Amino acid sequence: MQKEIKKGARKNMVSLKRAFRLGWKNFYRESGLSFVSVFVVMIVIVIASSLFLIRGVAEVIIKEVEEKADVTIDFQLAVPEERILEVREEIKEEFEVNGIEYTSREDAKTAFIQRFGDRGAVMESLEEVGNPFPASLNIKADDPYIYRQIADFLEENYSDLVYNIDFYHREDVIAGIFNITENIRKGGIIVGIVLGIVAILLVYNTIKLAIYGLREEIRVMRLVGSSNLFIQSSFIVQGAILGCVAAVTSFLLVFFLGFFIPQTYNVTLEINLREYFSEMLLMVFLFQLAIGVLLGVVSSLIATCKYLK
Amino acid sequence: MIFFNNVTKTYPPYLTKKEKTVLDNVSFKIEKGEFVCIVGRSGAGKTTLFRILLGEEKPTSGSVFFDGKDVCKASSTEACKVRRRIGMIFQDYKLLPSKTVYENIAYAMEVTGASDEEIERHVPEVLETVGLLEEAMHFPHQISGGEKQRTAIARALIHEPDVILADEPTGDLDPYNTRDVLDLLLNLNKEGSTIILATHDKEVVNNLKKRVITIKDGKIASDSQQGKYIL
Repeated sequence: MQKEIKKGARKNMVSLKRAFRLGWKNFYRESGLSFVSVFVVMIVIVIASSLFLIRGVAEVIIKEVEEKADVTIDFQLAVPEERILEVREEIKEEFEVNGIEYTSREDAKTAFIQRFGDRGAVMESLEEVGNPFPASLNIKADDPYIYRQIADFLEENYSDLVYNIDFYHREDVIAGIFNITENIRKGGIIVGIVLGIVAILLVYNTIKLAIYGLREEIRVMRLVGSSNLFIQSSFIVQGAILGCVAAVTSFLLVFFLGFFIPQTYNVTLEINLREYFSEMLLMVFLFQLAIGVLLGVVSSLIATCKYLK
Repeated sequence: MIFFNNVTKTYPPYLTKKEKTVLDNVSFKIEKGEFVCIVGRSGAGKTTLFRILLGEEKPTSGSVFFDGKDVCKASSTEACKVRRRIGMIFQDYKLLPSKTVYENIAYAMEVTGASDEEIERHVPEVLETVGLLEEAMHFPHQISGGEKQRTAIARALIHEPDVILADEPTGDLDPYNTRDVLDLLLNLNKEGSTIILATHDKEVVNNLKKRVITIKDGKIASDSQQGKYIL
């Protein structure tokens, strides 16, 4: 019994070794078809990895833009700090906000001095009036509607404490920013779908080409007594090799194109594209390798299955 | 050893509006070690007989037995095992174009799970038998028609099959190469292999002086020992 198991395992190892050898030989001997297939899979990988990178950059841009949208609530000068902190806690409990930053009157004054300290006339006026700056809460949220809810909540419950809410002056701008980022997201999905369809069409046509080439070969293999598994395994290996070569070529292409990326996309957004690209290199390569091998193996499976029924 | 029992094969309408019956109630037996010529015009159904025996096609009705086993009901694994006991030779050789002569022959052994040592020992022997030792590393497009057919024969022989099916093996060959191929088949038959030769070459059939089954309009027109080409 044990002898038979050992024999079976040895036979499987021999078949696996042969599948690798046959797959590799098929790949380099059918160089014309391999070149075309690698080229097509490479196009698909480059499209997919571009989408992957663009999506990452777009997310960073969207986050940066959204972070620029915020609301500041100024309190009456006489309101004590403890009261304002109580209001802050209540807002935190009631609404889904990303952060609420408290700025005391002293901090506001210090910030003003830091900003305009070199202007003599301004500083002289400030000395005369003392500290005119109100304490404030700066709120950041993911959804522009939350800003309105908070503003209405404060108007209703704490109108005696609140001096000014800048949301009402900036409502349109905030809505505009969120609109733009939403449109970028939607646009990204549409571009992704279109490029995805292009990629599928390219791979489908390559599969058709491969099926045509393999039809007769598979028939002969079956006639000499080859099992379906043996035939399939060598073509799967061939597909995986094809995917690996396409992934490496795509990576080199993307790496080369990376040198032409400008240092920053927009100074105001402070995104260093080259740095982002360098950080993502390993991730991009693994992503490309996975797509390449998956496409190669699935294509081989579909192409062989049709003639192995 | 091989028994075709009332086999009918009808193809559904394709370009014409009528069904086409290629084999009509065909029955015959072939014993182990026989040399049988299956004779008929092009399209008479000779190749269909072979395809059914190999499990590539199912008959519309009837059954085909190989060593007592109904190949029409065989699973894909069982069909594989049957094919390994049959060597097939085609008119258009059907060699794998991306493999050398040596690899084409070795492939038929590789699929049976033979060890590398067995393959390295056995393939040169068969290559020597068919006189192709020097062409071993050539690809099919680098050798002549006769050499291609000898490669196909070597591939059919390599796993020492019980039966060899030769479908018009001399159809594309000159008389000199035809003689070579027939001599090879006769030698194999002398060594105990069952040979089934499908052909429409009158001279080949008459010179062989072996059993001849003639198929006409999908039916067996005659079946005679040491027969002659009668169409």
